[in-house]
Amino acid sequence: MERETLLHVKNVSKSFLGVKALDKVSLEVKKGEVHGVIGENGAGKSTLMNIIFGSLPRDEGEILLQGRPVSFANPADAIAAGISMIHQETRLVQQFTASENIWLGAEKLFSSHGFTDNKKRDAASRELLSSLGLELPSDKRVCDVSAAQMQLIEVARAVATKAKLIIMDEPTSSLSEREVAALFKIIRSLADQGVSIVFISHKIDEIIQICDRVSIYRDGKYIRTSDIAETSAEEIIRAVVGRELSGIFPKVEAEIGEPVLEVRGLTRQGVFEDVSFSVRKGEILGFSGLAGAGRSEVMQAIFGIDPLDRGEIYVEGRKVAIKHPSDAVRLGFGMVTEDRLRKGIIAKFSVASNISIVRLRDFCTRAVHFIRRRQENAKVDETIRMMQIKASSPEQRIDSLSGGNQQKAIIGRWIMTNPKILILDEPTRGIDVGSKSEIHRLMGEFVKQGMAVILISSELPEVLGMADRIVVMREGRAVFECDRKDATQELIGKYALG
Amino acid sequence: MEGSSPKAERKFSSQDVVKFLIQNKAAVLLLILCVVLSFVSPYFLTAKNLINVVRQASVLAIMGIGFTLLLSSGSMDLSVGDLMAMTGVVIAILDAKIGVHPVLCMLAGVLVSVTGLCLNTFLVQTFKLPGFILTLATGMVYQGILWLISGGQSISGISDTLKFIGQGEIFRIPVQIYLLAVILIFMTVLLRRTEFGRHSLAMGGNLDSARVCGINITRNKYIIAVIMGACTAVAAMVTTGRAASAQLTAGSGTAMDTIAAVVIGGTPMEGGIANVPGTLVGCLLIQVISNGLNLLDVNSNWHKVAKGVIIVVAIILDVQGTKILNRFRMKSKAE
Repeated sequence: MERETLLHVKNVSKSFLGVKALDKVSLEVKKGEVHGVIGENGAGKSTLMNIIFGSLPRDEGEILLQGRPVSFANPADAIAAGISMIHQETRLVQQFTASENIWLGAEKLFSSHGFTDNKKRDAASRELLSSLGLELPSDKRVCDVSAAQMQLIEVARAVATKAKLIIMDEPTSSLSEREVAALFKIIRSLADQGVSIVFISHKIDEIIQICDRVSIYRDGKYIRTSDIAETSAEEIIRAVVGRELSGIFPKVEAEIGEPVLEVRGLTRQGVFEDVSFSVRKGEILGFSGLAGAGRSEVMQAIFGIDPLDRGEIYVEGRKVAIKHPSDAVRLGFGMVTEDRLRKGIIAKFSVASNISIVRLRDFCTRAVHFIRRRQENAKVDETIRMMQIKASSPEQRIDSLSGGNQQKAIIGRWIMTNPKILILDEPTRGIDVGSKSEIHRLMGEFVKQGMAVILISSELPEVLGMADRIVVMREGRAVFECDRKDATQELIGKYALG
Repeated sequence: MEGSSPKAERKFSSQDVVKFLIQNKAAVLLLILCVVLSFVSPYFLTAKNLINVVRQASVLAIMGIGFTLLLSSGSMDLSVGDLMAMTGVVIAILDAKIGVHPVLCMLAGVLVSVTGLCLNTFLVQTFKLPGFILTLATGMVYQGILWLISGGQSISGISDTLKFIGQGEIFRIPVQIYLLAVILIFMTVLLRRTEFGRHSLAMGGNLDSARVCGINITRNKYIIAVIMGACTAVAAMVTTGRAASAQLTAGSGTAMDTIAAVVIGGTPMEGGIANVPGTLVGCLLIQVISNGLNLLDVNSNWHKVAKGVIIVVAIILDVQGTKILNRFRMKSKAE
């Protein structure tokens, strides 16, 4: 049965100061369809969505909504026409309650004489939220709810505005697997009610799982739209990157040696408890678990970012005290944090300065620490080459690079310190498929050189593909540990969910 | 200006000109102002007047250069003006009333300023307070102390050594210009060439990142407080020496002028980037505005209005300029 077309974007182009960000791009979304949108960072997905949503003007092309040409001057117009957008970072007012957020801008539905009937509004919110499977006290502030709940509140808000089309920009990037499943159920039921969903994601398995069709974009160009039933993950990856990938997770076998790091009974009250594990030379130790299971928190405590209440840390058999990240750096730790923007890059610094910041002392004169620029630049160039960072110049500002290249620079920052233990916390989250596979290849190189790598990832296939051994955490405890050969998705999932 | 034109031809496009103008807005404004003033007032371009402007700007510049480090490392301090005035009074009391050796007076001044700034740092770091609000409060404390110890009277009878710092000349160039030059060179080298400078900017750029990179933030903040304290003390010596007395109101508006000069000069409010020469130009700009209005015999209350307007313009240019530059960056990224 052929469904009617809800949104038709035809040959839209957009240039920023003479450079084409979108080149005659198309998108056709049918009524009641979940339509996947995939492409590397910089492929033009966000620009396209911002044009549809009225945040950006287009240079040429047309947009038809239910057959009628439309041109939204701003998001408010788009929302009035039935298009909602859920951004990657939440746009909710943190100090407001869920209910206040849902009806923000639509208070007059519950108003008389300029006064809002809060009780009536909250009742409507409760009904709406419970229909989405989310029970929340109506007076709970948004800043006190989890990322997944915020996501659902945003969905509720879109439903409240009677959206015909909801654009979701990487809605799952901060959700655990269980939360993703819950979100998918809601997406499905919305689609069954005739709402169309545009689902932007980097995760191919999610696209395959939830979408009816997928449109692929590359370098500002529309590549094609495929029925999910008639395509495969490999085919999508090929279209996204435009080149063959030699397997998604190219695991390199490395010789595994003596334990480098051993921790016993690590406890931070109310966050994690009695966590013990060890990692050996040449080994990749994977950490799996739901978001909020305490994996990142354990690593941050080991690295001296957060305090530790109890527990012992041994590096190469010697007991050590780590009170500050500088202690960890001195002991040979490297740490790529989960949040690249908040705790990773220094946005205003050049690529070079971002890379050399930890090991600056190596290029400094002895007494007064003057930086020897030539030495610094030489070492930075070497790192950029090794990490295959695509930058026009090392002096380019790091925030002008794509997410994947930023991440490679941050990893390079630590590789330059020659660490014994490298902690990678969600190193491939939210970056394009090409960079992702390069980071996986580099991890193989690192362990081959005798480094010990700790990999935290919420993506099960990544952990299963890369790690030699896997520790599963749940509610602040390490509940399960197994070797690569014994690990299956089902087994890990069982322990992670409890 | 089409995307299709070859790269080589675009090397010196209007884009680069706009970029240059935005990045050097203080210098451009200063130049325009000087040209206008030289037409309006015949006295403006005389050597005497210009030296006078530079002399007056030097106190602001000494403060401003220290403040460039402070601001670019992600700190804020509104008490520096009051602290400078208080330091001036302490120096004057020790020098004129008690008769302590001038060198010891100056050392005591440094001690007072450094202590004041370290106290601010201690409170901010220990209790995790916003520096903006805290230093507004401690500034009030320093101002109160200044009035208490001075008894509300300006203190005259300054020794010749101190007067020399504010009024003297070496090779017909005012002493404070030498002090300014030393501080300028020191700060430029510190920020551009040393590990400490790079670390300070990293702290301003992203404090959490800097911490993860193993930078000792607390220690560095205290070192910055000491450097700013030294600058504040030098500014206090010059001010006291120039007037040959400790002026109780010397600090009023100084913090605002300093911040304005630093920001106009191209150091953003959020830190991470420092422009030391820009600060110098910013200070000259503020001073030339005052000087010009003086020459034109405008009511001194208009000076405040003019300064305020210029600061507003500078902040608009700062924010909008960053936006425009970002668009250029996006463009070069797309290439």
